[in-house]
Amino acid sequence: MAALGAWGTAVQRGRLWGAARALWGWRRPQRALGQDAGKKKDAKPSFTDEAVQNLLYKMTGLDLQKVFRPVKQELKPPKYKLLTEAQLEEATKKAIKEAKEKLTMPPVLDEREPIDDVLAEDKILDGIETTKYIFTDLTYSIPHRERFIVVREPNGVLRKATWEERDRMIQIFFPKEGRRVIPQAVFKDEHLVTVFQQDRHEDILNMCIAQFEPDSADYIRIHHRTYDDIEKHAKYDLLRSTRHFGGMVWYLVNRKKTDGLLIDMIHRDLLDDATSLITLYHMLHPECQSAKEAEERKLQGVDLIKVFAKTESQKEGYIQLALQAYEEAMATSTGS
Amino acid sequence: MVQLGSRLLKGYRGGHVVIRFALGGCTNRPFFRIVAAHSRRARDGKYLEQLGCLDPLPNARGEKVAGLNLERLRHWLGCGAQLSRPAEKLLGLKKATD
Repeated sequence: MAALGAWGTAVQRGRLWGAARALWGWRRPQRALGQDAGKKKDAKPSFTDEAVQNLLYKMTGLDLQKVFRPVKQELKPPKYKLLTEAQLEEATKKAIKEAKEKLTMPPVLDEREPIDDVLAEDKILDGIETTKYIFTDLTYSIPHRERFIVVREPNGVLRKATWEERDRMIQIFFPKEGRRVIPQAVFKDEHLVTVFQQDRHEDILNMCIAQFEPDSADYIRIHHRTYDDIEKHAKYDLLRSTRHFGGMVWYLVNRKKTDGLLIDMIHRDLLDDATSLITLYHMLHPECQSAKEAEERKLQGVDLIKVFAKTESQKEGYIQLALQAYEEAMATSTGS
Repeated sequence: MVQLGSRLLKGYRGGHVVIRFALGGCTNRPFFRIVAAHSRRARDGKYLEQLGCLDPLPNARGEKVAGLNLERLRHWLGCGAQLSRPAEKLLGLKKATD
């Protein structure tokens, strides 16, 4: 039988417990969550900053019909209610509040560092077993990030489990709804292509959030592939009014691929969203020329977009065209 | 039914608490539960507490999965529970070459 070795005897020694457990999964302090906002205000704004979140939330839009569209459920006959005007308003307000909760953005974190830590090397156990043993600590009250999960290899080495092994074991012993022990085949790159052809970006992102941890490599890869595909085919409206819109905008602004999104917003007459997008761009890239000009001349609205189009964007022609069309539409609508 | 009470609460003379493996599963498919029980009880009978499990057959990735509730294990070892030989080997408190 394999052995936990010296580590097993720690069961009887309480001292190592607290200190070792607290540091189990955290190779470094919690830098990934961008908690230094208070100390370094000049540093790059992170996803969780209040200003950034406000801008992203405004751009997400609030289409109640889309947020509360029928989800596949048990078939029940529809219920009809007779309401006065005041009651209808109240019901709409309640619906908006619930929609806000549904639209909370999932976290955007850096990729987690791989774990490769050897706890013990017992040469006497070399060759006794033919397979490896994975030991999981099933104590109920500890958070999953601090749980001990170790692997005893057949050559006697006792090492910490990798992140994939950890996720699998935690799902076996503490199953979470919507998550499988072995991730589905649809998350592989060749199958994602089929999903994108069917325009089911939102569904695959919801499945990805259920299956993977936010800082795992697979989660980040799937999200980036989805955002790239949306940007390539300009299908921004698929994610509008869902909780994934903020993450997509963050990704595009960080990589300076905002032109398509800007044109789409102008086409749909969402000028406020366009200005918030450019404000966010300036917050993240304060050294760019358009940011400096906007700072100097305190531009607002359409002027801001024009300056941005001239200095920063690649598709300047298209943006000018779109703006012209918008202004003509405004002129005709106010004139007639 | 009150008259069954004394027959269900089995009293033993002597014996002690052991942490050992209780066999479960089906034909040609064993599965062990790591269990704290009275030493005089049946192997698969009534136990005091389940402290974990061990799957002796390797899974698709070639791993044997074992779960141990270390907090409760500490408690029972603190209460003076003995360990069976396979349990000792699993926890590494005995030479695996025996």
